[in-house]
Amino acid sequence: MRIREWLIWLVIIYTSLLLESSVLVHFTIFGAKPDLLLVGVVLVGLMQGKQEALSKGFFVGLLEDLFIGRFIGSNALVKALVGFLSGQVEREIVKENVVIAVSMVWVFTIVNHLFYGALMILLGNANILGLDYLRTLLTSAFYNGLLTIVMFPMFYFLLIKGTLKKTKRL
Amino acid sequence: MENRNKIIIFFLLVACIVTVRLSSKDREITQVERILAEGFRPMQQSLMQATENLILFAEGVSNHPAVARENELLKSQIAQMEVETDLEREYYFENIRLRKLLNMRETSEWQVIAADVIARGIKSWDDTMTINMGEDDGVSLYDGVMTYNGLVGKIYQVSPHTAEVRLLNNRLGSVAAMTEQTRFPGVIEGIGDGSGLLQLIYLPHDAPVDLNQTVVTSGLGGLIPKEIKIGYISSIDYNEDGLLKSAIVTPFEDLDRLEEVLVVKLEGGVSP
Repeated sequence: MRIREWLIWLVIIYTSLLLESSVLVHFTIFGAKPDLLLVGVVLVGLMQGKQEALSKGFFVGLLEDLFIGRFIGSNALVKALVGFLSGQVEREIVKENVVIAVSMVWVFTIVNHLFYGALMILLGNANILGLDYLRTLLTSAFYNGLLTIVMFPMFYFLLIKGTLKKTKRL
Repeated sequence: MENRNKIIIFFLLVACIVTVRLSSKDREITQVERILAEGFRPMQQSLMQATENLILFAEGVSNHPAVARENELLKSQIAQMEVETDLEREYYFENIRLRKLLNMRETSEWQVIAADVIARGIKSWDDTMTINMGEDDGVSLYDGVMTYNGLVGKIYQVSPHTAEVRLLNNRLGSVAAMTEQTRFPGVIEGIGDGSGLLQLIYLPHDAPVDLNQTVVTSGLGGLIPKEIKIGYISSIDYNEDGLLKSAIVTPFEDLDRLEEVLVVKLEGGVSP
């Protein structure tokens, strides 16, 4: 069961990175690129809680880092943290509500960018943030929010009813 | 159990910080990254091509009347060019004959490798792209990448069948350049404000740099050939202290819409 779950996550990650690097790069909004994996991690947090989102966030971020080939570990760290934080509200929200999911993705995309920016500044790589950091932060949040409308039904099915449903483990 | 989790999280945190630091500079890629690059390449190439075709189709449908007019114009231009081509062919053969007469050797300082763009960087700060030629095809680290309009970037990572190109507007890279007319040297880099503009930096306030001058590669460093066009100076910014200025350069090529590129290297270029 566990192996099958991780294999499905590998397929999700592969497909997302493929779409992001070859298809969605043609559809940027004011230079902002979407982050399908971040949307996925936040949805895991909202639907399955902090522990699941923490581990998935780390795994997803690490593979994304290896794909990018630069600052390896940065996305793993930030996505794990964002997953953990988004999981904090799991019990407080109505999981079926797509509007809540969109708002949460919007908020946590901003949180993700702020953490990423802080990490880069702390590690002496502030130059990658650029002068358009604030604009990119807001447009990315808007873009990810839009994509959530499309991704929500698929993740709801997978995480609540389907193969990736949370099971109690001893 | 609780303590064990805390230790694992602490260990992962430290490991991540160390790997971020280690991977922040240009380097040879690891075996894992090599496998990842190879695993993505075929699908990236097909998807990129399919998306570009789809966009072209959509643009074609929306611009149909204009395209029809342009088609007529192009047909007449082609007819005229065919005449010119015949003339040029004559010159070409005449040139070969004369070269033979002078016993000149056909030489070219540049080695050129044609490549297709198969993917783009996935992060907003990541102004990079992946091409479908790698070290097995002769591509090496720090080779220049250009189109017929001019330089667009340089190679910063190579795997057997793909290579990563850092575009000129990337905040992490720079290229040795100079003004074509006054031969004044400088370093060109991305401004980093999302505009796609570049800047020629660290110029003394009295440097002979003016609007509309063309900026070309200077060839310093011995990796990218000299005299490749980059862009033109569209404005000049003076530093607050008045000692230095920087020239804002508009690149000749649209760095967001690259499909085919050429990797250029100097024959016998200096290794980094």
